[in-house]
Amino acid sequence: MSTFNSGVTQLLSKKDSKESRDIYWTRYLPYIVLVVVFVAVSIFVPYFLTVSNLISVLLQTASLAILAIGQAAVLILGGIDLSMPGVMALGSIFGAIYMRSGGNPIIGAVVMLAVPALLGLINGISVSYFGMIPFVVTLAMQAVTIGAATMITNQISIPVPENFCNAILMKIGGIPLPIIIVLLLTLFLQFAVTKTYFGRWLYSTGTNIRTSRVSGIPTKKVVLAAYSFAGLMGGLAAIIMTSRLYAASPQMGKDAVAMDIIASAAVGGVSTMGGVGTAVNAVVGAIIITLISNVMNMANVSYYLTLVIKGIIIITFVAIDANSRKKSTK
Amino acid sequence: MTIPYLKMDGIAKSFPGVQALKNVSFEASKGEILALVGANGAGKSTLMNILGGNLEPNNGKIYINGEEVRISSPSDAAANGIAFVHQEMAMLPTMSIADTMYISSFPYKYGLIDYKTIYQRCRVVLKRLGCNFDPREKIRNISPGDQQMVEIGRALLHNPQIIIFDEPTSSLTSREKEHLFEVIRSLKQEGSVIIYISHFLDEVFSLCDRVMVLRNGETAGGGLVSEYTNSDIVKMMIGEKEIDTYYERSEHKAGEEIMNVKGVYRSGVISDISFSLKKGEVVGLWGQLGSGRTEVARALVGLDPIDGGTISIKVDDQMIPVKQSETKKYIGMITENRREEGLLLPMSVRNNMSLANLTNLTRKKPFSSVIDSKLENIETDKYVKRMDIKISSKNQRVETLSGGNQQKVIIGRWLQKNPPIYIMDEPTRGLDVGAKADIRRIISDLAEQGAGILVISSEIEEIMSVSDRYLVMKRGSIVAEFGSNATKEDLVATATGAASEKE
Repeated sequence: MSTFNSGVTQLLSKKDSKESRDIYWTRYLPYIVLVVVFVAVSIFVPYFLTVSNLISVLLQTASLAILAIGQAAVLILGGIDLSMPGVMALGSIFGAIYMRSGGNPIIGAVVMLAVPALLGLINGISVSYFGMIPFVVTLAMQAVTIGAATMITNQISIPVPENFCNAILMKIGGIPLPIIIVLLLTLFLQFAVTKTYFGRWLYSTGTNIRTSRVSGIPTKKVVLAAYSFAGLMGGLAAIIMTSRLYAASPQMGKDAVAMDIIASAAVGGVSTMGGVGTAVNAVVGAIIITLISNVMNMANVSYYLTLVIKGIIIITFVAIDANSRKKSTK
Repeated sequence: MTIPYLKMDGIAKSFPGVQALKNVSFEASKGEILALVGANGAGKSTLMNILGGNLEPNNGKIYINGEEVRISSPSDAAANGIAFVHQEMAMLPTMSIADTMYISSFPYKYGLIDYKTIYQRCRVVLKRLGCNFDPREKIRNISPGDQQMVEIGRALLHNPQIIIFDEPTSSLTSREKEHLFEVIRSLKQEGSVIIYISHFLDEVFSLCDRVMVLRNGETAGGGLVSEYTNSDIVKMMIGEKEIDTYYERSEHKAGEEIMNVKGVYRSGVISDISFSLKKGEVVGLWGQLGSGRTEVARALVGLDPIDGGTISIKVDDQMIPVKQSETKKYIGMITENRREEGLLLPMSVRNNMSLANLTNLTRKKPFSSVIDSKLENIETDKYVKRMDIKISSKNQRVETLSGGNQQKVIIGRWLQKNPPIYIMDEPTRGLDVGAKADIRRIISDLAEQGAGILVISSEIEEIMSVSDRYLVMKRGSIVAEFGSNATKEDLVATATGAASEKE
C-alpha cells in the first residue's frame, strides 16, 4: 500500500502533527476523484461498463499516461516540460519517414525513441548547465518542434507500415500491448522512485535543490536525467500514438496536448511545485482526464469549452496543492 | 558644547528568546560624529533600526531637539529628519541613478513623473557629494563606491539632520573610503548629527569625535575618542570580567596535514586564502560579519565559484590537488542557514539523515542502486542515538523538530557519511544553551576521532572553546594566525584592525 502513496508523503509518519492531518486528505484526492468520475460515467454512459469498452478506454489513455509519467519526473524535480507534444510529433515523423523509405520497423521505433530523447537532453542541458528557465526553454522547444514537424510534413500525415502498427497493438491475453507497457512501466518506475537512490535524489532535488547540492547530490545530472527521461517518454508515446493512428502527423503535437499532460499530472496528485508525486499519480490523472475528455466529446461540448473546463481543472488542483503546502510548511 | 540634538533614553528591545537591548541610553549633538561599536550581536543594528523606524522598541523614549517623538516606521523617521545609509546597498542595477534615489517618493506633474525636477535635484545632491555623474546613468555602470555615494545621496534628498551610516566602507576601496570620509566630515561641518557604525576601530579613530561601545545589549562605555586607546575600546567590547563557565576549553592533538589551501581567491570577495588543516584539530575562522569567512567556507566546497588557487586534500595517504567541484566528496559542510540549505523540511528525519550517504546504503549487486531500507534504519538509529536527537519516530518530518534537533540531524547526516574534513559555519546559531553545549561536545569528539574541522562562529567565547588554532579574517583576507594561547583581545583587535595599525 505504501508505494501507492505519493513520493514525499509516503515518507511521512502516520500521525505526525495536527497540521499534517490537514494535508492528509489531499493525498487521497486523486483516487477519490477517479472513483467519482468512474461511477458518474458508468451511470450516464450506456455500455461503459463492458470489458471491451474499458479496454478501449485504457488503450486510449496509454499515450497520455506515458506522457504524464514523463512530465511527472520533471515536475517532481521542480521543473516543467511544455515541449512534450511537439517532441513526440517530431519523433513520430522522423520514424515514419525512415520507415516509408524502406527502413526496418524496429529501427523505425528506435528513431521514434531517440529523437525525442535527444530533444529532451537539449532541454535538460539548457536548464541544468546553462541555468535557463524551464518554462521558457521548453515553450521555445515546443515552438521549434511543432514548427519543424509541420514544415517537414506539409501538414499531411505520413502513413506507417501496417505490420509496425499491428505489432505494437497486438493483444496478449486479450489486452493490447500498450496497456501492458503502461502497467509494467508504472510498476517499474514506482519501484525506482521509491526504492532507489536515484529516486531519492529526484525528490530531494525537487524539495530543496540547495540542500541537495550542499549534501553532495549531483543536482545538475539529476535535472539533466529528468528532462531526458521526459523526452524518452515522449518517444514511447509517439510509437503508441503513431500505431493507433496508422500514421505520423504534426497534429499529434498541438499545444493543447500539453494542457492534457499537465492536467493529468496535477489531477493525479503530482505537485507542480516539486517534490511530490509518483508514476501511479500520473497514470491515475491520465485516466481521469481521458474519461472527462470522452464524456465531453460524447456530450458534444465544443472544443473551446473543453479548453475552458480543462484549464479550470488545472487551476483548481494546483490551488488545492498550493493550499496544502502552505499548511505544511508554515 | 552644544545641547544634545538627539537623545535615546532607556531603549529596550527583545526578540523571541533574546534580549537584544537592555536599557540603552545615549545623546548626540549637531556637528559631531558618534561612533557606535560593539562585537557581532551587541545590539548596534537593533538600536539603529529603532531610530530608523524599522523596529519598534519595547521600552524607552526618543527625543529630538528636546521633544519626545514616536518613530514607528521609516517614513516617521524621515519626517523627523533621520536618514539611514544602509550597509547592504539596496540597488536596482538596471535602473538609473535618479530612479534609484527617488524610487520611494517620485514627484509628479500632470500625472507623470516629473523627471525635470528629479534630474535637477539629483545633480545638486550629487554635486554636494563631489560626484559628477549624469543622473540618467544606469546603476550597474558605476562602481560600488559610486553606488555608495548614490545611496548617501538618496539619504540626503530630504535634508536630514541625523544621518546613520551602517558599515558604509565594507565594499569600498581605500580611495573610495577616503572620499566617503571627506563627505562625512563635510556633512558634519554643515551641522548634521552623524552616527557611524563600524567594525573597524581604525576608522573610528580617524573619523569620529565620540565613541559609544555596546556589549550584549548594554552600554559598555564611551566618551571622547581622543581619551581612549585601541585596547581600551577592545576591552570594552569583550568585557573584562567574563568567566568562561560554559566554555571549558578542550585541546586536541593535531596529526598530519589533510587539507592545504593555497592562494584561493575570487575577485572582489576573497583574496589569497592560504592555510593548512591537520587531522584531529579544530581551526577557528574568526572575523567580523562580512569579513569573508562564510565566503571562504562556501568556496572551499564549491558552492561559490573561485577565480584561482588550489585546494589539496589527502586522498589515499597522498596530498593531491582536488578540483573545486570534487571537494564535496571529502568535506562535510554545515551551512549557516539550516532551513534554506541544510534540511529537506517536509521530509522525514531518516531521509534527511541518509541524504549524503545514499550511495553507501544500497544492496549488493545487481541491485546496487536499490536502497537497503534495513541498513538505512540501522544507520539512522545509530546517529540519532549518538547525537541524542529527540524525535518521536524516524518518520517525523524535520520541520516539526526544534532548532537544536534540526541542527543535530544535519550533523548526523555528515557523521553517517564520515568525511575526513568538516566545515561548520555558525553551527550553533539560534540554539539554546543545552543544544550549543551538545554541539560543541560533538565537534570535540569528531576532532578526537581524527577529523579536521574548520569552525566559523560569531560568538567569540564559542570559537575559543572549541578551537586549537585561529585564522583571523578581515576584508576578504586572512590577516593573522594565532595558536591556542590567543586571547579574546588578540582576536577582536586583529579582526577590527586595531592591532594591525599599532604593531
